[in-house]
Amino acid sequence: MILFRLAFRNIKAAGLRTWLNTFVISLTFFAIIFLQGMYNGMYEQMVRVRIDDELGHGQYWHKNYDPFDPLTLEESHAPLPSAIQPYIQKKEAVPVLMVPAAIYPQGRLQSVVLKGIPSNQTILKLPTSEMQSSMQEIIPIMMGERMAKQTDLAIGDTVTARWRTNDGAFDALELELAHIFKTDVPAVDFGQIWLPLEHLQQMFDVSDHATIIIMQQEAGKQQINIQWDFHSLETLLADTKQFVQSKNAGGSIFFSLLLFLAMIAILDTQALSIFKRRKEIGTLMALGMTPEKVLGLFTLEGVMQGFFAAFVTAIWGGPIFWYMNKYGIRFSVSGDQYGLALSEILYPAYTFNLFAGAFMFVMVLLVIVSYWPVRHISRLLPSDALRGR
Amino acid sequence: MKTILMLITGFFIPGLVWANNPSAIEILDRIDQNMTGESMISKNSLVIHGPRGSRSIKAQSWIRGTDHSFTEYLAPAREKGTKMLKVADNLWIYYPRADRIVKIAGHMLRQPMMGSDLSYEDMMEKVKVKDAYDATVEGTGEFMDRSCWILHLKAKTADIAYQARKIWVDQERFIPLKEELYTKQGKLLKTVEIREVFRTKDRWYPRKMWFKDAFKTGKGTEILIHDIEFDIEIPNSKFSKRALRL
Repeated sequence: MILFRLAFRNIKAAGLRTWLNTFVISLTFFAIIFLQGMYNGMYEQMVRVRIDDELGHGQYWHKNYDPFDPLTLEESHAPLPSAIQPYIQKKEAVPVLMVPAAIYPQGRLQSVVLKGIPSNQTILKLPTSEMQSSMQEIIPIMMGERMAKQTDLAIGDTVTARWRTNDGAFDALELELAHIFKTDVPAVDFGQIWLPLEHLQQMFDVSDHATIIIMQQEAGKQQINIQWDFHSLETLLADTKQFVQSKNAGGSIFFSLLLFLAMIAILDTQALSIFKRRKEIGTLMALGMTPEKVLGLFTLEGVMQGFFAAFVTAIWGGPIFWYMNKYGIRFSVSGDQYGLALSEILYPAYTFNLFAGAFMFVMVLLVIVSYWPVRHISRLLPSDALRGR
Repeated sequence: MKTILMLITGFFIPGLVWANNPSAIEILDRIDQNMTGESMISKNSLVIHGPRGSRSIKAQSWIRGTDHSFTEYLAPAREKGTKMLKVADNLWIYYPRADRIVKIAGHMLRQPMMGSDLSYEDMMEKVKVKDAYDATVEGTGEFMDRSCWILHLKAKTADIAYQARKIWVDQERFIPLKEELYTKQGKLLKTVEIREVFRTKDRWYPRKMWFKDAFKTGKGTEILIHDIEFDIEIPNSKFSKRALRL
């Protein structure tokens, strides 16, 4: 207990130096928690919107389908396998047919992918039920805000679409834009037009065909037949995970720098203490304190600084973390402009593990840098120390 | 670009004996005699009339049958040296600035060729009309002050790109002065018009042709034939990928 009292008294006596160390350590705490929270939030947000609007909880892909190679699209469809039919009937799976096409908004040719999806599906949060035409003979479509802006189309506008049927014949029809939806997932927006599946199957001259099947749960993750490959949610999210990890690595450079500064400050304080407080050490040892206890005292002082800094961070950083968690951080540029499923407002995710992890990480480093410069004290003779040698 | 001419004329297959009221097949045969050859070499221009003005591309083309064509762009400077090779169902473009050969396939085939009203897909089209279509003479009419036979062509099978065509054929010169290409559901997709013809040896041939994508704004794309020679020996090496870099 005496060690605690002594350590606390010494920290208090150090005055401005203590505050400076506390400030730097506190800033480090804040930076680690802030950046980690932001990346956690970014990942959670991207995963959530991608599951909601794009991925479901796993997908079956036609064996030829490659989302990164639009050239494969024409050959990437087949009749729905019978094994998946029960899931579709229970609305636990939704088939999507993709057909390459061209549209002519304002007389300009633009390549698009027509995506057919049952309008009564509930697995994706896309508002597919809004696909209803005011004119019976015109097929209703919907598109994302970015696509609507790019094509300069508004609700109620009609646009000519031209495609090739499954046999290869040209066909064209007028489509009516029935709904424009907002999504944070550019992958379901840019260059795409959504329309009721049965219409697209009819247009493409195929019945019951699909390109991918989106699953509500990872229920049927086994290979259902040779033409369809299952892609788990983890596989589908691999690129998102990779992106956040790379961002995280970039961010860690910043807080590593702060951490380095904090550690230098502690190291410096401890090294100076050995030099300045040599007589004090000698006195303590002469009074019967063992070298190990003296070592413990100095180490404890460093560690106490860490606790103090954590407390200070909680006072000034806590409200900031709470505010950011509740209201998010608004970026002037939306991440989706770079093809990322990110909205303009990012909500950092702070968890107990994050706080505990950051605290433990900094404290372990503090123990090391507090102990390291003073480890030679144990070899010091009290008489030498009293003489200031 | 010459390929386009071949494509348009390629469907007109040789046929039967000419009469005062010829059958559709007879008309198609006469057109074929007029406009196709074993091979041809031509100098031509592609004039693209877009909403923001017109631009012209000059080219030289070597064509053999319906499967082989090689085009080299001569002007403007930006396009000079660009070469396009078509062999059967394959199409490659060589970009001299990047020194790269790109195969045009899938989605890219639907892109307008050099921003024109013709897509690369149009370049790849090679159907034999006699085999692919049921042709009937609908009647007579006039186009560009010329008396024409009007032919209606209906695809025999569902895999033909243009399921219906309507052709106005010059009754005297047997040139398809106008052609309308329709989708499966009967929407007009493209129009091709021959607005000027010239006589070369024993045949009539288009001098000026217009392509118009019916859905696109703008006046369309014009093809001008400056010079053409038929049945010239073209070495096989001309239709190889190696020739693209030469």
